[in-house]
Amino acid sequence: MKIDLLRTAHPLEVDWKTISKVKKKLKEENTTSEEKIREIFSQIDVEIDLDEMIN
Amino acid sequence: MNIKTPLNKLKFIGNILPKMDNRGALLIPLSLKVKDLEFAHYRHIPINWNIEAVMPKCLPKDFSKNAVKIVDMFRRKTIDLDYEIMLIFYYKTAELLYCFVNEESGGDEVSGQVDEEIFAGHDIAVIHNHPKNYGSSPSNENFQILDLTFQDYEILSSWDGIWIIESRELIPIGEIRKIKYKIQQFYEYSWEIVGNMDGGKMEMIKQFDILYGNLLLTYINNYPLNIKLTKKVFKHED
Repeated sequence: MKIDLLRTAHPLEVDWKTISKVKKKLKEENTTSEEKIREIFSQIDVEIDLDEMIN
Repeated sequence: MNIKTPLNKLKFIGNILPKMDNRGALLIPLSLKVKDLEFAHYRHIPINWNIEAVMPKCLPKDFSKNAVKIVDMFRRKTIDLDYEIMLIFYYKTAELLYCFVNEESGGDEVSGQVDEEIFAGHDIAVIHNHPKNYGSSPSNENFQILDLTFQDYEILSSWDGIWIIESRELIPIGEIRKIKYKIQQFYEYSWEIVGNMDGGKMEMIKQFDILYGNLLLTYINNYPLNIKLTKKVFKHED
């Protein structure tokens, strides 16, 4: 069986389009991106320190 | 150039494939009639001897000495490129199976078609590079290994190091969808977080790569399935 392999890279530019799309989504959900990431991690019971990750 | 011809369609005698010699050079037997232009292109890419070497301790223990050399040589050849290349090889015998090059993509992708039947029962690794102006961390599409039963390792060579994804077991489709959805969320929310930070554009980009990469590492390595993600950082210019 033939299989198609694809590898892509994300451009390393400020993705303003994604930022504004996510801001709109978060506003609709009435939450912040940090809260959203913590919610995602809470589902797998993992503590994360976003400040430590960013700094 | 965008010609895709798998190495296994080369005419050869005695079922011989390109191998590594004891100095790390790729050996093409004289009896081999090389028809694959992409592989010829790869062989002629200059080697950057000024970067840190990929040592055996950087890679899984079941990579043979010559397979380590394949990875090291790949990193040296691709570190300065602005396009992507992909190699597929046996990580125990260090035999190359496929080479795909895409100079025309503008740097953001490489693709190829493989014949799954030739991999049956073998130990397969796939390596590709992210050019310098692209994120170091694996993108969502770089986790195709989760969909493939024949592949054990995915290696990504980036400007600041190498990423290794290990996945040997069959992953249920539902789990794969969940993982890829989360990875996309991390990508989007990482941009949101850095978009709210102070600092110039370059600092923002650097912080995105750090944040998104760390989120991936934490998430994948805590996922309740046998999938591992590691990153080996090498000396680099910021």
